Parts: sequence; structure tokens; C-alpha cells
Amino acid sequence: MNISRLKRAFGSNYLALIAVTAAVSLLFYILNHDFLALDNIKNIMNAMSFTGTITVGMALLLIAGEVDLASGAEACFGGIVCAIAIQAGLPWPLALVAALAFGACCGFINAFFVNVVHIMGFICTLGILGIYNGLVSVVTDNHPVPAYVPSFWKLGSATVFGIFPLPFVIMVVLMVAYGLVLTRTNFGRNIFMIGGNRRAARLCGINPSRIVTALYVNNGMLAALAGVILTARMHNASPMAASTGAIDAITAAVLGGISFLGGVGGMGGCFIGILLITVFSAGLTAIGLPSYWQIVAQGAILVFALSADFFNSKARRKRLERDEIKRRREFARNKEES
Amino acid sequence: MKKIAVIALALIVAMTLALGACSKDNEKEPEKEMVVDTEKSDTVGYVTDDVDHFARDPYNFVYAYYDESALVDATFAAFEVTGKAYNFSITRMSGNESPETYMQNLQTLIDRGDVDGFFLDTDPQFQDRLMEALDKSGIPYMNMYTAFFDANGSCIRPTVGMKQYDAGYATGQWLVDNYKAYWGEDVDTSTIGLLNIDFSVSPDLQARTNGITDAFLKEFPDNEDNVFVVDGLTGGTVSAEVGYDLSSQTVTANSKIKKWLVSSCLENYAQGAARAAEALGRDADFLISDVGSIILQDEWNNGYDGAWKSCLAISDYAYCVPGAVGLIAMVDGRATPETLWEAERDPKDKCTIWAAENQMVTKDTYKEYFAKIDSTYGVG
Amino acid sequence: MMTFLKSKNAILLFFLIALIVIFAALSGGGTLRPSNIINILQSITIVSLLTIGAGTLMIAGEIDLSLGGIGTMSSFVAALLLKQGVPWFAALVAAVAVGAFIGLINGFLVNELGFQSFIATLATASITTGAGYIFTSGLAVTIEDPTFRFIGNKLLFGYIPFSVLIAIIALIVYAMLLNKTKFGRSVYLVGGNRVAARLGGLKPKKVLYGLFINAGALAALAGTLLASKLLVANTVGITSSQFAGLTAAILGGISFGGGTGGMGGAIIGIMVLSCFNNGMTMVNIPPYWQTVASGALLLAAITLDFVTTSRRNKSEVKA
Repeated sequence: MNISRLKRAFGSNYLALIAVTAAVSLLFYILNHDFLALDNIKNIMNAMSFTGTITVGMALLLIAGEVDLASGAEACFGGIVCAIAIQAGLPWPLALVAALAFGACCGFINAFFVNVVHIMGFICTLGILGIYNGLVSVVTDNHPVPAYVPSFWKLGSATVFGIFPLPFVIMVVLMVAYGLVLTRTNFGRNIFMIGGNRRAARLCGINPSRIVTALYVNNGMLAALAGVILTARMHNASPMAASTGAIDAITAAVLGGISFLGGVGGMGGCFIGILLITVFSAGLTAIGLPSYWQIVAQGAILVFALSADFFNSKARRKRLERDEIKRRREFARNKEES
Repeated sequence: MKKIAVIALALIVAMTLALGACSKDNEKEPEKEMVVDTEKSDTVGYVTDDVDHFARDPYNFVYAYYDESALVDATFAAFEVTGKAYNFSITRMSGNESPETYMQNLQTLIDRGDVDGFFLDTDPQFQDRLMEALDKSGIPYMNMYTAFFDANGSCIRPTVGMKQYDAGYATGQWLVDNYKAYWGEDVDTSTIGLLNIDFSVSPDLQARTNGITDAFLKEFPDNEDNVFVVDGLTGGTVSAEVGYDLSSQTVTANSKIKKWLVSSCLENYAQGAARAAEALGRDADFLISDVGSIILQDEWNNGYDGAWKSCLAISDYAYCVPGAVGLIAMVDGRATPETLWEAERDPKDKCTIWAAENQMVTKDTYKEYFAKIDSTYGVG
Repeated sequence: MMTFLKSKNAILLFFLIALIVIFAALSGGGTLRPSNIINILQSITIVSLLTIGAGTLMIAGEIDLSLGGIGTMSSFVAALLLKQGVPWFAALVAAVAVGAFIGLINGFLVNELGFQSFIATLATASITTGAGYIFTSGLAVTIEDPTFRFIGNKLLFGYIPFSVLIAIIALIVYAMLLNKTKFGRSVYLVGGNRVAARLGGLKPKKVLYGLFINAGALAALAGTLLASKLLVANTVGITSSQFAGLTAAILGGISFGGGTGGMGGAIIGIMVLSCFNNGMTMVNIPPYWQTVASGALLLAAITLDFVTTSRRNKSEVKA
């Protein structure tokens, strides 16, 4: 891999975000040296993994111009299905499969409303969110459903190479895999095209409905997976879990450069987005900032990071324009001389 | 578009005219005469009250709570069982965590006209408006868990509750009394820290948190720097995950603390802390307690034996039965809010706070405790 | 008349009437009692103001999630000022000004810094909510001023809540604004196709500024009205009504950046939502099922709209 490709991969959109993340980490380290201790980093990795897994599915949907506001509820429901299956005596891998199947069904339902009934994703998933929130409470009687099988808990607490928590590794693997799909495969390119201009995509022979369905099903399954991993970590599935899952995921994705209108973005940005949010909130706790100021700070960091990104893009564009003008002048001059 | 505005306006005008036409139907029932039999006043509203509850038609009560939780569910289930023993039916009403929705729904039920009494379980922030609406309707009500105080700190409505500060203090006290049993006699007390998971916007929960901190500082007055009060509000929801994240982040960011005493005003947060202790592999360095016993009971029933060793047991029947009996006495007319449970009253209060039984329990003592409560109150 | 009957709003109106009839039957006439109707009317004020703000922004293709935080913070501002003895009118104006200012910030973030409105308003929501907590140390603030209490609670002629008048006036004013004025038309155009609008000589940025400021001011008014109704400015405020406002706008036929929908539909959407919530409580539907039902209502209404629209399109094509 030569240097210019590496530069392009990083220096492009994510420089501002990376810089902000590094600056914030440094700041917290100065205020509390334990912040970059191994234990704390493991914590951050753990905390990232839930939202991160949901963001993978959400990012694909956003790039295609759709959204799923019910992701958090789907994750919660997936965890509950898994826990109920375990209580019924199923071995946990089967319970996991059951949860994934359930997530896929949720995806199909979403896709139905979006494709057949032509409801905007935002609206239909808003309605479905209400339905799932209520159903989750009905099904569990508002009690957490225990998942008391110690071998299952390994899913949430095992570490790879002794350092990286398993949920984090799963998230990274998913991100890399889906990132490759987005950039290397036809399917990925089609997703971008649908997001950019759906009618044009259809005229090119792509079938948007089929792709959107696939994306919703995929999102449902990823959300259910996230829910199952959370259940493994908590040893039970709570009906109150993951209530802000969708909003957190969308925030991380948008922070990472994905636009609501679709057509742009990538997995690298998502990773940095989640990293920044999690590092920041862990840091606030580490320095013991009073809680009300923490809430203000959570909003402020979004403004700060996105502004930095905005100014960086503007500067980049100006630089590119200047280089282009310089190049053209050179070319014209050379032409004159010859 | 003009047509829409005209039609909408017409609808509203029509409704208003309808009000005028129908107003005669809405005569309120005459206020019930409150009869208080002074001879029996020391048993009125008690379990030992000598009243045949089945000599009357069943009452229709509503349990009006502010937001969903496992506690609310357990309370409702306990009310259903109590209702069979004391001849009343119970339905539920939720405020969806919003005072506006709470008031709205309460008003709807008042207007429906078939509710005989309310059990209120709500945030006292909007108590003035609440009492105004209920007093106007004449329907008696009993406060559960949270009391209404006036500006002088005097309780103004009968409540079945607990002293929040004392409840928190009791868990803190248990921790400082028992840590030696788990950590040995010669622990360096300067490395002991307190992790106190708060939810600051609720005055009741904040009172518990204050109790926990004070109990710790009374035992370890030099450890003020080791007290970490973290607010669950920053996580957005009351769930174990928030407790988990806050606990593990605080613990790993403060490596100078070797031993952690943990307590919380909410059991969900304590559960998160227990998970964090396990995940960090430091069960031996943690000792966790909390106010509230539903979740820990479940865990114990499933065989849990980790750092979360005790909790303040709140048996639902210890709350629901006195509450029900008291409310029935008010609806029957045998007591008024001011005369109910006069014998239990704290002199500074205008109305009584019935301090429901609670007790610190551990894995060895909880079954016994709950069995005792069940037999005392004769239900469940 | 026939075109009206076939229009979207007519379908919604029938839907509303059907709802009222069904709940009246299920509750044995309870929902039609005068006291209950007053209750319903009292509930529509807050939602209406939020629907107008959120709805107009939706027509222009933006979303505003900070209305809850703005309303709550403004109510704190008003309550704290009243406690200092400031006259009620000044406190009200101050609260609305605060709301408008935050709307201005939202507009700035979206227009000048290129933020997506979703994230910009989410950030502002966090900041205003946190600021509100800081001002009041997390406690509620009582409102003692009699005029304020009057605004929130008084029943004119014993029946009509005063706050309903405010809602009706606001709805009519904004309906006229959207339909009769140049600004209103530009809102639709900006929503339909922003690039075309700019090329056509409109200034989308100015329009968006206006809409955000307007939404902020209305949210502040709603928050203050709620505080006066409850007699306290509390930490929850109108946060929970925020999504109700959005839902009512969607129910009323306003679609995202589609440049369609209007206040007429919004009124019906608000009524549908309020009657539905009231009816469910009247009939004693358990709270969990109420959440499910609200979600189902949204889906049902939109599906109904789709079914009738496509049928209408088919019949038009045939003709």
C-alpha cells in the first residue's frame, strides 16, 4: 500500500474528526492519567461495541437514503427473544439464531411498509418503534428476562488476545466486512447510487426495492445481534435496554460523514464517530464533571467536531482549487512556450 | 384550503355549543358526609380494622403511576392480590414520564366518573395542580412511596412510603458494618472508595443518595476524596447498561482506589455495577448494596453469588395492604385524610406517612423476611 | 365539493369522525361528556404549537428535535424571572425571545456550518436541556404569578380553555401564512426542490432561518403555557410532546421535504391524536398497549392514505 493511498484514505474526510478525537483523549489524559490505562481502554472498547454494531446496519440504510428509527427497539427485542429461548431450554447458539431470525422478520416488516405501502422510512419506523416499545413491555411484564447460562456470558465477556473484548472485535470485523462490501462490490456501489438518485438508479437497471429490502433485513439482524451481545454482558434482557439505540447510531454515522440524504459516507467514518462519542463520554465520567455540565458537553462536542470537519473540508476544497488553478496556469504556460 | 379552516372552526364551535346543551347532565354527586367514629379511630384504616369489606359493592380503584418500572409492576400485581382480599378492583394508569400526560390521563379518569379512589405514585413536582384537580373532584386518594410536603416540610396527604434518606443511609450503614467480613480485618481504609450511583432529578432518589454518602463519611471521615457520586441522568435512561458504563468507567479511571463500596438509589444501576465488577474480574474488591429488592431477588433465585451481597428489601404487600386499607377507610367515609392513622403521625406532619416496613436482607435472610411479610399481611 | 371529498384531508376527517364514534360507543358516551371535551381541548394547545413549528420545517425538508429542550428551558427562564418579581408580560416575552434565539442558532448551524438538521438540533437539544438543569439545579420552579396561572387554566364562559384560543389563532394565522403569502409559497418551493428554488431567485437560507426561529419561539410559548397549566416549570416540560407534534404533522399529511401538506391537515392530525389518546384512557386500555396502539395508528393512517391515493390515481388514469 503506497503512501498516497494511505494519505487519501485518512487525510480526506476524517482528518478533522481524528484530530478532535486525539485532542480530546490527550486532554482527558492530562486531567486524569488513568484515562489511557489498559483497563480504561478496554472499557471504552466495550462501551463502543453495542452502538457500533447497530451503526453498521444503520450506516448502510442511511447511505441508501433510508433510515430505521426502531433499531434500538429491535435490538432490545432481539435480546429478549434470545433470553426467552434460553429460558425455554435451547442451547445458546440456537437462541442466537432465533434472535437473528426475529431481527430479519423485523427487517421484512419495515421493508414491506417502505416498498409496498410507499411510506417514508422515517415515518414507518417511527410508528413501528411505538409498537415494539409497547410489545416489549407486554411480553416481559416489564421484568428483565434472565439469561442464566454461564457459557452464554462468554459472548459478552471473553477477550481476544487477552486485550480486545469480544464484542469490540465482532464490531470491528463487521465494519471491515461491510466496508469492503460498500467499496469493492457491485452491491455496495448500487447502494450509493440508490442513495444518490433513486430514479436514475432504477433507469440503470438496478432494483431499488430489492436492495432496500436486503438492507432492512440486514439492519434487523445486526440490531438483534447487538441485543444478544448486550444480553450476554448483562446476564439478562431488560425491556428498558437500548432505548436510545437508533439515535446514537444515527449520530455516530452522521458524525462520521454519512448524510441523511444518502449517497456519501463510509465505515471508517462511522468508527471514528463512535470512537469520539464514547471516548468523550467516558472521559467526562473519568474527570468527574458534574452531570448537568456533561449533558451540555455532549451537545457541544457534536457542534465542535462537525464545525471542525466543516472548516477542514472548506480548507481542503480551497487547497484543491488552488492546486488546480496552479496546474492549469502551468499547462497554459508550457503550451505557450512550446 | 379555506374550506378546511371553515370546517375545523365549525367543528370546534359545534363542540362548544354541544357543551352548553349537555351541561345539565353533568351534575356532580353531593359530597359524601364524612362520618368519623371516634371510638374506633385507632383501628380505622388498619389491617385489624373490624370491617366486613364484602358487605359493600366492590370499589373501583386506579393505580396512577408516573413511569413504568419493575417496582410499579410488582406493586400493581400486589394490588391485584390485595384487591381480592379486600373487595376492590384495580386498573392502571401511566403518566409516561410526563407530568402533562399524567394530569391529562388523571383528568380523563376523574371525568369518567366511575373511579372510587386513586393510588398516586408520582413525582411531587406538580403536586399543587394534582391536588387541586383531585380535591375538586372529591375522590379520595392515597399516596404511594412519595409524599407531598408543603413549604414547611410538613406532609399534607396520607402516604404509604418510606423515609428515603433513612433507606439510603441503611444501605450505606450495612456496607460499612460488613466490609470487614468480606475483605478481612486489615484492609487499608484509605484505599476504600464509595461509588454512589444517583439519579439527581428525582428528590426522593436524591435523598437516598445523600443517605448513602453520609453513612460512608460517618465511618470514614477522611475519605472525602474517595467518594464518587455519578449521575445516571447522563446516560439518558434508567437501565442496567447505564449503571454498568458509569461504574466501570469510574473504577478504571481511579486506580488509586483498591476497594469499592457501592450502593445506589435504584436497583437497576446496582445491577449494572455488579456486572461491571464481574467484567473487570474484581468481584473480590467490590461490595454492592442498593435500595430495592426485586431484581436482586431474581438474581438470587437464579443462583447469583457475586459482589452484590445485600439490598434494602421492599415487600410490596408491606406497602399495598396498608395503603389499600387506608384508602378504603377514606372512601367508606370512616376517616378523612386528616384523621387517618393519627396514632402513627410525626408531630410535624398534617397527615400521616405510614412508614412501611423494610429491612436489609442478604442471600441468607431474604426468603425468611418475605415469608414473614406475607404472613403478617395475610395475603399473597 | 367533490374534489374536497376526494382530497387527502377529507379522508382524514372521516378517519377522525370514525375514531370519535368508535370511542364514544366503547365508553358508553363517556368521551362525549362536556368535562371530557374540555379535557381534550386543553390537551391540544401544546401539541398544536409544536406541530406548527415542526410541520413547517418538515415541509421545507428539515427536522427539529430540539423543540422539547427549548420549551423546557424557556419555561425555566420564565419561572425564574417571575420569581424575581418581573411582570408577567416581560417574562413571557423573555421566554419566547430565548426560544427564538436558540432557533436562530439552529438555523446558523444548518445554514452556515452545513450541519444536517438532525444532528444540529440534537446537539442544541442536549445543550438546552443541560443548561435548563444547571439553571435550576435539577429542581422544579413554582409559578405563583396569577396572570400566568390564568393563561394556563382559565375556562372562558366556564367551558372553553383559554389556551385553546391561543392554539386556534396560531393555527389560523399559520395556515394563512403558508397559503396566502409569498413566504409561505417559498417554504413549499424550498422543500420541493432547494436548488431550483435558489436558481429561481428565492433565498432558501433566509427561509430556513425564519422557520427555525419561528419553531423555537413557538416551542418556547408551548413550554411556558404548559408550565402555567401545571403551576410549575419542571424538568420534563414538553419533551414528551415533541414527538407527538411530529406525529400529528405526519398524520395530517405533511411529508418530508415533499413540499406538500398544510395546516388544515395538521389540525385534523392533532385532533386525531388527542381524541385517540383520550379515548384509550377512557376505555382503560393498559399503558403498554396504548404505546402499541399509537404506533399502529400512525401506520394505519398512512396506509389508509396510500390506499385511497393510489385508488384515486388509478381512477383518474382510467378517466
